[in-house]
Amino acid sequence: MTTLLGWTRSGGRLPPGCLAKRMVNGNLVEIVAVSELSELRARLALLQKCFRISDGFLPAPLGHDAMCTDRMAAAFERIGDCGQFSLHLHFVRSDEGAATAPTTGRGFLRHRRQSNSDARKARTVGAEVLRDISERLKPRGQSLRPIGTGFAMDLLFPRGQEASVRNLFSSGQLGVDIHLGQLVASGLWAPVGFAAEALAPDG
Amino acid sequence: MAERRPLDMVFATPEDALSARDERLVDLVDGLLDHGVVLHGEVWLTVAGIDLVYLGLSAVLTTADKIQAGPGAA
Repeated sequence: MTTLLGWTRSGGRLPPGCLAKRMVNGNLVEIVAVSELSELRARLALLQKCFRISDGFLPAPLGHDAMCTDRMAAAFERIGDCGQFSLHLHFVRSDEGAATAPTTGRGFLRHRRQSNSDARKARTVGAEVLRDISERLKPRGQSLRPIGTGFAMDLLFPRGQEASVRNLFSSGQLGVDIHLGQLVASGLWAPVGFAAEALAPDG
Repeated sequence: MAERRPLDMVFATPEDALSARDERLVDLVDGLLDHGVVLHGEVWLTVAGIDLVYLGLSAVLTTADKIQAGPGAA
């Protein structure tokens, strides 16, 4: 059984460990791994190598193998020349609450409710922080989702803008004057998040 | 009151994230691989400032194959 990695335009180069399996939809080539990849992390690493050297690479969603060809071709036209930067905003956990946590039942419930309220406020601010960053960067697409301790956002950019966006992140020019947590940005990834949305069976 | 300071920002390449042991970067890769969502809600019944009843509900929303793969599946 082979592992589907994605699609690219015919005639493009492929990294070691990958091969072009067949033509689909006229001028697109289906790329598969030479050997089966049991771990999604290994699949993501190989998919990233394809993205680095292939022209207009569209990754296959990591959770599914079967694709709708028409939908895949449309997604290729929209995001095939793009990559994504991924942002993860983690909130700082304060130790003040632990030190003053009450031991009585009623006090515990009230304390728990206050903690949850504070966490909700922090998440609201966190979402606004990421939206504000997105507005300044003006990506071609964006996807915001909650994670355990904060928010994550994927931003879609044409490959030609990679250097300028990367420079903004690494230079700290997007610094936000708020004591909230830590923002980790990484990229440029193959557009795995946007491909998953565009190629979802019910999307 | 917490001291105001710029949001701490870190930038990493995909290669950094894929090979890192740093929990923050590992979380980031896991976020790319996992599209599941956890929903949590709670209801409080309070009378005259006294908390009487707490109802908490949690739900996991994810793809069927991910759930059927069982714990530990990526």
